[in-house]
Amino acid sequence: MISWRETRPFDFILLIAAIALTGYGLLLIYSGTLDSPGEDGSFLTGPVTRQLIFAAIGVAFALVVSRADYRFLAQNSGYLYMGLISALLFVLFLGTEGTYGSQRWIDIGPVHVQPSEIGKLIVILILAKYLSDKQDEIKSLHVLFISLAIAAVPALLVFAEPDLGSASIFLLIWFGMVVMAGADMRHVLGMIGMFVAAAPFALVAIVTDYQRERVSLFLDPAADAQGSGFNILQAEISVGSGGLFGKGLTEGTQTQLDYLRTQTTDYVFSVLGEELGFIGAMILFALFILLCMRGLRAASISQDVFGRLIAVGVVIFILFQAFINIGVNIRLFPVTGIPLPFISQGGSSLITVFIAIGLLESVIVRHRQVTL
Amino acid sequence: MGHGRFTWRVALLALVLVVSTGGIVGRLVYVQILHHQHYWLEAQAEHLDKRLVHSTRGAILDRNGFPLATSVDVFDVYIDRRAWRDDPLLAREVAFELAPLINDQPEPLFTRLLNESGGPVELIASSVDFSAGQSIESLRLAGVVVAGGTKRYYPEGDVASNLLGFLGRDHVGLAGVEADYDDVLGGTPGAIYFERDGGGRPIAFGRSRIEPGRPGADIRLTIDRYIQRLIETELDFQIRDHQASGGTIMVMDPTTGAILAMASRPSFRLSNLSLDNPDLNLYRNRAVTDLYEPGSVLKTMTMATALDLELVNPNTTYYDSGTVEKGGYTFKNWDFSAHGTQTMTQLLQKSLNTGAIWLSDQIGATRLYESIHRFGFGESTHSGLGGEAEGLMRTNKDSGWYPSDLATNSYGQGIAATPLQVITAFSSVINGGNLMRPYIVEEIDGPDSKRIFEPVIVRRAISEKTSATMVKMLNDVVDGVPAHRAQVKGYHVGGKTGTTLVSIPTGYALDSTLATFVGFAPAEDPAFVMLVKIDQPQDDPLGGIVAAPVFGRLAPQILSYLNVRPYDQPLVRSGQ
Repeated sequence: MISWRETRPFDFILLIAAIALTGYGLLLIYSGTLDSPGEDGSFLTGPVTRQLIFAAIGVAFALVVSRADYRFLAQNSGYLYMGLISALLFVLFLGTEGTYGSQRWIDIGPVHVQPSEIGKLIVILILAKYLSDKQDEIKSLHVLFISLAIAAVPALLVFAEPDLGSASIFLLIWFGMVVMAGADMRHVLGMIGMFVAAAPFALVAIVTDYQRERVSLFLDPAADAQGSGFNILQAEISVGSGGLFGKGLTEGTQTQLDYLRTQTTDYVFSVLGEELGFIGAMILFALFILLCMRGLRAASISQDVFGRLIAVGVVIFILFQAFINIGVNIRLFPVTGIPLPFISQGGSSLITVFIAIGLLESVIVRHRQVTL
Repeated sequence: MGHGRFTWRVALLALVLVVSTGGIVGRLVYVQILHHQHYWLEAQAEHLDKRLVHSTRGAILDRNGFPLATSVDVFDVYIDRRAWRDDPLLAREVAFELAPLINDQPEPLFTRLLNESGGPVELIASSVDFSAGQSIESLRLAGVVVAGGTKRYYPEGDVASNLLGFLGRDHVGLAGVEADYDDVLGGTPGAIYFERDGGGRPIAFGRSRIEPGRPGADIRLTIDRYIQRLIETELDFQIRDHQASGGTIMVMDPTTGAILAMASRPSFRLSNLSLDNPDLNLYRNRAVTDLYEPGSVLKTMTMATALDLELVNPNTTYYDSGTVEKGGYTFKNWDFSAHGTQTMTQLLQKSLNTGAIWLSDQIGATRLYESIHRFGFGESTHSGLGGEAEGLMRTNKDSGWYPSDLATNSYGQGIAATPLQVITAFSSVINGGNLMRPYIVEEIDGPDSKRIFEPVIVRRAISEKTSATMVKMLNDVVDGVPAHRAQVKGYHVGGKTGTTLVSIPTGYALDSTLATFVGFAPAEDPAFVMLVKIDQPQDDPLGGIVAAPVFGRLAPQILSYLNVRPYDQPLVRSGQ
């Protein structure tokens, strides 16, 4: 907690973009849960209030983390990583049975915690630490493989929950970060080639039936329009029927008449598409692009490799999650269950992305004080 | 990791950001802008379930405004099974509340409510009377929607059945005027929208709505219900009396072409209509759909043609030797006798075939066929009645025509026409020479527009002078022949009989005939023209015996109903 070396200003634009996205999400959650208020019908226990509380906690975390020196986290990233692996093992064997037969949660009192969310940040930290430590031999194959192993262990544990979407996010973060860290592009491209070649076998051998079904439904949702393909079709219809300006907040028939399922988490973008239309989506993209650009700015002004890698890791994390989540809504990707950062209802995800913002701020604030 | 290399790698990440955003925006443009309409319609189709409801059907009135067919307000009861899909107890409750109001038993109704084979939304009871419908509406039962409907009612009973036609179960006219003017009578249907959510749960009151349609227009016909009833009674009597297979009677106003009455047999009874086992043969309006050979009635047109060309006058004579040779065939009179020198009037009175052939020789084939066409034979009359036949006639311009055909055609054989064509042509002979377009609809009275039909002159068939001469000659045909059965006490009438063999595929059925008479009254200013056709009478084949008396009995009743005064000199002589 070394905060006395701060000289550079805190990036308010970054934090405001994050808060604006959260507020945008609150509007959509409000509209998506109009017919399901809190347990006793009170707004105070309803989903909007809960999300608002998570947002407040998230902002608080972001401020605390921004004042902490990220290098302190670097020293402890090994412990964090061990903690993550333990938590994921705990989830796998003792976790709460969640929706759709998967185990993704730990119950701490009344709160469900999803360790895979914060796990993404921990992997970013430990990869940043490892890759910055190994800058001298960054082009060697063994660094590439060890870094892959670091990401692959939690990825496999998450995959076993099963949560293919989050598992692939771990691997995407690894991929993005090794490229950024300066790995030999021939190695990286060769690895991608191996992944692509192995993908069909993986689909047959490793991937479970339900994941295969998701992929086949993605290709032809109408084959089971009233069953599993329902959500995919409804999301597309919702977005398409919204048109340029949308049907108006709380006026979307698909959303309000319950055609759209999980409309505050996986399919929150469809609510946006239906009720606020193409224009509403453009506003969302503008906020995301602003946020990502501020993240890249943090990466380029940072004076140490560790800070730079944290910044690009966070940008990759937010960018890919958003891209995949929206892609699912408009049938560019098969269903994955990845939340839309800042927007989707859910405390673990929201607090995680705010901590990520805190990390970015921490990097920005200290970019001058680096002594290599 | 040098700083420069890092910079291009950050730029690469920015590029990924731009490309992925571009991909998503592209897809959104495709889905939200280019194909918006498609998805919008799909969203509509998903949550709206629409049922068309019939608007109040317009009435069919007679020419004085008396209803022949009318609609009474009833209710149709629809159910939306999604209301109790997860709750059979609710269905049971609904069944017990609803059953007594729709004349059903609770248990079978309960079974029906749960039976999904008819889809989620179904019409469960139609034509529920007004008070029961109001009661159902006030109960506000879950999944039960009550919409206004109509039920067809025929106040005059079976009168004019095959002219009026009838409705199918879906309230669409299937025959007669009900079918011909279905779009006018039916109006625009309204709709009930059953809105539903993604779970299939029905949406509470307020979300389902009824959109009223536009009621249909009333149609006032030219038909007079009194004359219609008269001719139907007489037709049934005459068919029974002569064990005939069927027949047609039509009454027309010769000056306008308005059809005052029209009936044919066999027919069906509106009061005993079976939609399950329809005998399609009974439903057509034979007066406009069926062809027959007009026979000697056509001598009227042959004579009118010769007069119009000023080839003859009523007193012109020709010599009847009893037979005529034409194209290798020998033609004889119907009574197989020779009458010597005969005037044109006598020709018509005695209905001499040799005379008609002599006339056709004077006129010539081309002029005679042109004239017959001017009388409307071989073309639709465009009366607006459905299924109208055009008729058949082979002329000297057609292949397969022989000179002997001209001879047979001159007295109405070898030419096929509908009763409507014959009465229309006959009207033109006596109305001053104009071929009128026959019509059945006098007025269409819609919710916001009114159309009144005016008589339409199709063309001039003969000159006014010829027409006047023909009226005089046709009057002589009836009143100049002692004890002619078409004569009417106190009125001068005119007309012409016809007797034809029934055409069968192998030629003519020698043992069955069509007995016809076309007449008009009064001769001074014809108020109506009537066609009587009795098919295959079993006791006597002749039009003069079977058909003319029908005119003789009906004409006085129609004349007095139409307030036509008898002429000043009574026909009744002293001592009679």
